[in-house]
Amino acid sequence: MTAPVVIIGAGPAGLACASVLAQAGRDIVIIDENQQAGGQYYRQLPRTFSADFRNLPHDRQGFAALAQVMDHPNVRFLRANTLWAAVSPHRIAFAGKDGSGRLDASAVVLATGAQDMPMPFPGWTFPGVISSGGCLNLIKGQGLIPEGRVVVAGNGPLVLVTAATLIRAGANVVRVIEAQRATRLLPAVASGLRSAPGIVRQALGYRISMLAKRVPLHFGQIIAAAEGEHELRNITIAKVGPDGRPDENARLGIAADILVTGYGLIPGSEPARLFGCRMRMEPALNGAVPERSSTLETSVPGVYAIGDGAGIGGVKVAIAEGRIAAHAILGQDIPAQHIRTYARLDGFRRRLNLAYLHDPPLTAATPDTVICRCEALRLAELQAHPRIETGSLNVLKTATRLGMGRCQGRNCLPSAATLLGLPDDFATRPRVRPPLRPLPLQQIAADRDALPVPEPDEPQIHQTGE
Amino acid sequence: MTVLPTGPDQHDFDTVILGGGIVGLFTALQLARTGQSVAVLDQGDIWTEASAVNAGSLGVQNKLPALVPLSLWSWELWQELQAGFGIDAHVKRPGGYKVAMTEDEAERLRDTAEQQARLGATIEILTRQQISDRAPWLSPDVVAATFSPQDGFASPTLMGPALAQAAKQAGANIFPHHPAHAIEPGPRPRIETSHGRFRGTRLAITTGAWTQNAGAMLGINLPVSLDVNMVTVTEPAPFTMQGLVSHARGILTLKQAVNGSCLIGGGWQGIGTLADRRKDVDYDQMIQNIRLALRVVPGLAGLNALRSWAGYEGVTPDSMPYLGSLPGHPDIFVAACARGGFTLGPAMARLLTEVMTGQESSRPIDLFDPARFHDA
Repeated sequence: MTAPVVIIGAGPAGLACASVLAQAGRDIVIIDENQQAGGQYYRQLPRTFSADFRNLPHDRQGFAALAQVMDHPNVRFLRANTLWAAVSPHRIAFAGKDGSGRLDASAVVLATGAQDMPMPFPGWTFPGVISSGGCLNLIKGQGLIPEGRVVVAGNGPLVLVTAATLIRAGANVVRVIEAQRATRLLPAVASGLRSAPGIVRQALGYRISMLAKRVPLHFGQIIAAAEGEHELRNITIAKVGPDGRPDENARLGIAADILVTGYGLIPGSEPARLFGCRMRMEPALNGAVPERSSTLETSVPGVYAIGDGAGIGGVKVAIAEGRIAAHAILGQDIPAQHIRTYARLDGFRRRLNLAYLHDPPLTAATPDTVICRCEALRLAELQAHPRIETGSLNVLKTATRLGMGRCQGRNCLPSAATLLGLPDDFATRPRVRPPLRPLPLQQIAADRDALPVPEPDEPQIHQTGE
Repeated sequence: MTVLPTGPDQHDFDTVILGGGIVGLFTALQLARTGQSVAVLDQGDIWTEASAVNAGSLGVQNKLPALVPLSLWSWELWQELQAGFGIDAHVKRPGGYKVAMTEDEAERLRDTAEQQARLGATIEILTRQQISDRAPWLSPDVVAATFSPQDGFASPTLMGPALAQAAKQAGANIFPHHPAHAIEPGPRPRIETSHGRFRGTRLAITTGAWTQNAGAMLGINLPVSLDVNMVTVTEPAPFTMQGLVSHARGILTLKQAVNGSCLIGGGWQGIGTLADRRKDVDYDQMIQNIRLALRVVPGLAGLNALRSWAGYEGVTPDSMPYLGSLPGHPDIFVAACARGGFTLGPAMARLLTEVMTGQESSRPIDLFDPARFHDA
């Protein structure tokens, strides 16, 4: 019997991949940390919610079409489970409340999605400041709409999505600022009229939502600071200077209760590193991604990476990639129309990502700004640390505990590298160590497939490894 | 013997130290303070191997009895270090419990405790009631335990940069990414690197797990086998346990560090060799290590594990360190492979400094003779 294809992540990429595989009769296991399939884009309310949430941005039809596969008899869904280790490239370890174990896979598909790129600024850890991804999750997943005056600030397509979603859901959005200049974005958007008209139409819809409520949108502006006493009261915005920092001479104070920041999405690609996939930094894909063949296979045979976790591109790219990977796993030629669609979308997302990319990088941190939230490390103390001379994020981690907390560097290391002027490469980045996500010790201990092992050898009394 | 080319790219020092871990850096600090010119060469960045990635135990109960006196002395040096740097490296001595989970282990626990006590350790054998009263967070399944007020721990991540900084301020020169290609003995022995030749009146080899390779460059047999010790760390947590917990059979260490994280070690083995540098986690070993930890301290069960890692430790055939001059090379010294090198590092460095400066060693080092396997 052939082992199942194991898909990590039940978002659009994973679901599209599963649909093709299930139709071809393959057994599939889908693992997701959430209770329900959908990922971030198609995140649904809990089934038990009965109130009227019709203003929420749930694409129910799109989701229903994709999620049909969840009812297919060949699909086993490990809901609320975490992939925590790659025992070998074709044997993964999972853990959840209902038990932990290992699975053999004939192929592994990493469809692990995107994460917010934090951009530290004075006050960014203040109550009332929330990331775009977090805000959208609360709206879509819990129907929670922020109250009070909301400012949306960031860099990238998510700024529009977030602002429009908030407005449609009834939030009082008072201002939206995008750090990139409009003139830099226009050529990429114009190119989308031909290569991705659906995406451009969607963006236009977002823009119209803003215009209808007369919500001002400003380009070339950045958050300089957030202030308040016990909760957010004011924010300072500024023109983006030529150095990528807030211009000291062009600042404006705004009263606000909620600040939603979205300074870009980056690929959640640690699982690929854990599997030992060869990685690269790819600005057109917004960060660290696994190297992939034309069939989206990584450098590790039989391990595929698709969707935002392999390069930011949004839902349409994710679905296209899911289909391509599925055909490759089935040993089939990729249908020509899939190749054409993907080539179009892939070209567009690369142009768009690069158009949004600000060079030099956007930074608003001051010496006093916390860079690593888990360990409460401020920019100045990292800059002043003697071990920074090594030029290695990993050495700096060992010396300062940068990235040693709950996030394990997922949030802080990309911005720390930029702010400290350190190379963000894979030779000097800390290794990805298991567990992939924080996991209760009892769930690791519960691994029903762990093998017995010899205990540490002991000459007289064994000296324990300190 | 390698014939080295002569050239302008030559650096002269009183002492050249190979290896920038705890022994090398502390030795450099002491020698530099006497006014010597000192160079520390490291194959990579300093303080990145066993000194940096161990779990931070400063234990007495978890030492081989023969190493107990040295461990107790090293604790005094640890305190000097911490005080001397004016930093808080989280050096703590809350004491430690050593536990047995079976009657056989309990017997062994008592035997070892007696041996260690004869050599100067303060160890109390607890009754089951005392265990419950004083350490209620230990499992009822712990059948016997001893307590020593002399067990403790420190933060490797905080101590390393402070030690390196102090050595630099004392005048020591540190050369990271200077792997040694050859060692040329003789008067003013030399180390050849791709960034030039380093000549010293004396050389010191403080290369831990890599010591066999260094010895081989001189044709000296310093056998070292490799342990790939794993550690798992949890998120910072409320009070879960106190002091250093070790195990009668030496297969567990547990502690809750100052930041609240719990560290789980015990010499369970990961995967890797010096050549492949993998240092990968062995999942089966890691899980058995965690299961044992939860049997001893059940309160750990709900804590989130954040990270498991592995590091290299060099082990000699008799588990005693190498310390002294190399046979036939009175100007070349070694200090390496102490089991429990984080605890013993300062003592090793003090002894090395003494023998390198021609003093009588203040503690006996006969058992550590680097020549003991050379003719074997």
